[in-house]
Amino acid sequence: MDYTIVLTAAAGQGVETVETLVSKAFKEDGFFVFSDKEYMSRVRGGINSTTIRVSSKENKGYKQFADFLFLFTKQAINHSKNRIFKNTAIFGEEDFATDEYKSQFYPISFLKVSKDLGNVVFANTVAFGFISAMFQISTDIAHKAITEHFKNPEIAQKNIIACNEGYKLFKENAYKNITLEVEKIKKGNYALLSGSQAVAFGALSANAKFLSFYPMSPSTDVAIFLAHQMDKFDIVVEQFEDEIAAVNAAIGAWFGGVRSFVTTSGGGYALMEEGVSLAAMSETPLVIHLAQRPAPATGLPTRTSQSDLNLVLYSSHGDFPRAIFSPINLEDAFFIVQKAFDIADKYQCVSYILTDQFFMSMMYNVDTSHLKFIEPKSYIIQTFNDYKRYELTSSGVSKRGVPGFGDGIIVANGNEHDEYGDITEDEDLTKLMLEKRMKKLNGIKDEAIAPIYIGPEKYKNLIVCYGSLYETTKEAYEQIDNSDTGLLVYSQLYPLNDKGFEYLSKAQNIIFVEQNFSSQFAQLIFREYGIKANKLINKYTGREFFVEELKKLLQDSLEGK
Amino acid sequence: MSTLNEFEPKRPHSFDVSWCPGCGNFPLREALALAFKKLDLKPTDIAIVSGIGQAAKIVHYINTHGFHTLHGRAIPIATALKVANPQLVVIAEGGDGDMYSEGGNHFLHGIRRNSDITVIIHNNQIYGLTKGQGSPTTMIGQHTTTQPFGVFEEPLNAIALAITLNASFVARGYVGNKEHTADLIVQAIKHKGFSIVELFQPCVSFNKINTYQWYSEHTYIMQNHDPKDKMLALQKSFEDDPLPLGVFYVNEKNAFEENLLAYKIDKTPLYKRDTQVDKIKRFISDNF
Repeated sequence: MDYTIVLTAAAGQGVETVETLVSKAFKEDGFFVFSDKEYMSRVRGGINSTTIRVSSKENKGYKQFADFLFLFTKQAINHSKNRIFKNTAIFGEEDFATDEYKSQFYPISFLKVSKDLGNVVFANTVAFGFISAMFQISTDIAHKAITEHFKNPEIAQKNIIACNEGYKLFKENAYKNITLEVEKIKKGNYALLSGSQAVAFGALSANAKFLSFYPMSPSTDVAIFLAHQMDKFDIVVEQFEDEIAAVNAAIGAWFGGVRSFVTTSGGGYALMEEGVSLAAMSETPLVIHLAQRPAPATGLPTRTSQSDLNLVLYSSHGDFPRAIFSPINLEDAFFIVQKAFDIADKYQCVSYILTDQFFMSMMYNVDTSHLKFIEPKSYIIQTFNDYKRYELTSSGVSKRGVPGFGDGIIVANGNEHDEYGDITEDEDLTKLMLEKRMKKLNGIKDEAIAPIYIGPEKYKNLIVCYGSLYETTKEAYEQIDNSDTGLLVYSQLYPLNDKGFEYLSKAQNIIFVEQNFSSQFAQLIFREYGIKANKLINKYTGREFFVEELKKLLQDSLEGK
Repeated sequence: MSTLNEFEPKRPHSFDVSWCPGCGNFPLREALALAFKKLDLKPTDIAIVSGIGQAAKIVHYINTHGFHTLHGRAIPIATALKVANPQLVVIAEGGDGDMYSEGGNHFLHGIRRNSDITVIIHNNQIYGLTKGQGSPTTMIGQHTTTQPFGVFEEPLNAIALAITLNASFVARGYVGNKEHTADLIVQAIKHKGFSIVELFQPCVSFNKINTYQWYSEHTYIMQNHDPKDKMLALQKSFEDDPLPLGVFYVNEKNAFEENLLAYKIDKTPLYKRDTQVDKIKRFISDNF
């Protein structure tokens, strides 16, 4: 079973309620559910859509064509035109129908029914009841989803009534002819999580105890979620006056021995660059979560992109080591975030976690038995008399003490310094200290995560992608003739694990898929290995590639079109 | 002859002090060490986070923990350090350019956040390290390297600004009076909350107007001032010749750390707390 539902509405209509309720109920009833949304940067008006994919196996790709399209406003049909194919059943108020789609349109009065219930906002819950009925979900499960979502019992009760109206609408009308072949997924330890929650839980699991941030879409959900956990876990979430303060606060917390991080987007990160260079020079660990969106400047605040790789790769003044990660799915985010903390702590360097709006908004059943937990190591030592914060060592890593733990005096410095941390302009020492810092890159590279390879042992073509494009690209790849084609997926973008070089050098035709204009990762591969991409597939409209769309592009590319 | 004693650093490069002979930073450092002694603090009890400038170099010339950071950024770093380990005495230090210009936003919001740190502003009314440009507190009409025809911008009145923001503790001193300065620092450190101590200190090389003699002639120590009286404090802060010294305003309120749920019950410093992986696993399986 594999159905795609698209809900299209105006901002402020509350369609996210349907998404939440439907996802909860589907999960509870034993379906695999994946959802994501695209939305405008406005609080009211405009048209947004949510895609919910319900399957009997772990389908995590972003599908274009809807089996069922629900319209909540007249303009919605035009907005979601590209989601309609010949088998799409379209539901909406009678006057939403257009001549073009008349034959596949099912008039339904969500709005009228909700008005009768006293408030148009109930349209969402009516739709939820309708969808639940369609998928033969018991009313018990549907009601449970409602009571969990609406904490206020009175409001919950009203929504239960609205939900029941939805069931009635389905059963009493012509739609009941739509009988679905309902098949559930094998029971597992599933948790319904979003991308922002996966990043947040990864950080909590890594023993992060301090998050400083300034709000910026699409990164803020991580902070919102963790702020709500302050009463349950040892974490301080503080909204600072600007990104400059936020990044410096994160550095201050690490200096004090507390694992901390910032969550931001490209523009916010641009302001943090100065602080990043302080972390680098003072060898204070730092972890940055950057959820990408189209830029420059304000760009498209609520859209998706992979165009900040170059930003984090080349940002900040001076030469210094860094590690860049980009989780490929939610399970991976748990692990990657912990890894980013471990690398930052161990090598006293800057670690980046690159996600994007599509990744942040993504939600699906995560099989918790697949979640990896790294035991957070403490790299902090108890200091002693005559402690040298920047002792020269063969690995470049000096033992890190923190103020107040031990008898040593800690002097950290953003100026070039001697082993004790005092300012120096000595020529020999300047050279030694820079070399010491850069040496750490060797250790970071030795621990770099190898890319995943999927495909035959011998291949002519190799498709390369990274981060959030993984699931969609994998699904597209599985649907094309791939007997002579492999797929290489990176979750660590810098430094590179050279296992990837072996795969790249075996291919005759390398195709990079990226959500940016200039194929930034392909450029990095060329810089590192001198290997040039043969074909580039890019999307830079702020919208994520669909499986069907990418399948066609890959096919064309492989056929030399 | 230095009287720093245990606060005299003994590291190889800490002897090479780059302040000019006669610099106001010397008596300021003496007063700071004296305050630490009065409070019976050990060097390892204290962490000074400094910005950039001649003032900010203090972390190399005094024996405490130190973090010499970026221009203007000492306050957010010090704030988070205090959260990581509330048992430390945390001081943020910098000059007038550092704290009021580059770090102006952090100064404003630091006051609002009210972290239990002491902020010491070395105010010499000029840029020293970069050799004599006008600062936010340079007086109108003063000729500088970059304002050769005279400064026309209104000088920043940080004392008045802090009082209007309901700052927790606002004081001003003049380093020519070591005992009084040390006493202000003692009170500031003891005070729970964001404690501002602005200290006048002459720059002997680049500010030929605001000299030791000028400060002696143009300042006075407030007597019988009630620092709980906000309107009186504000009135005092607008006096500009002579300039009042002392504690202008004290406003007892919860410090930032006290507002944090992480410290409501458990007082163990965050840096000593372990991961909560088991709790996380349970939380996910129960709620998601």
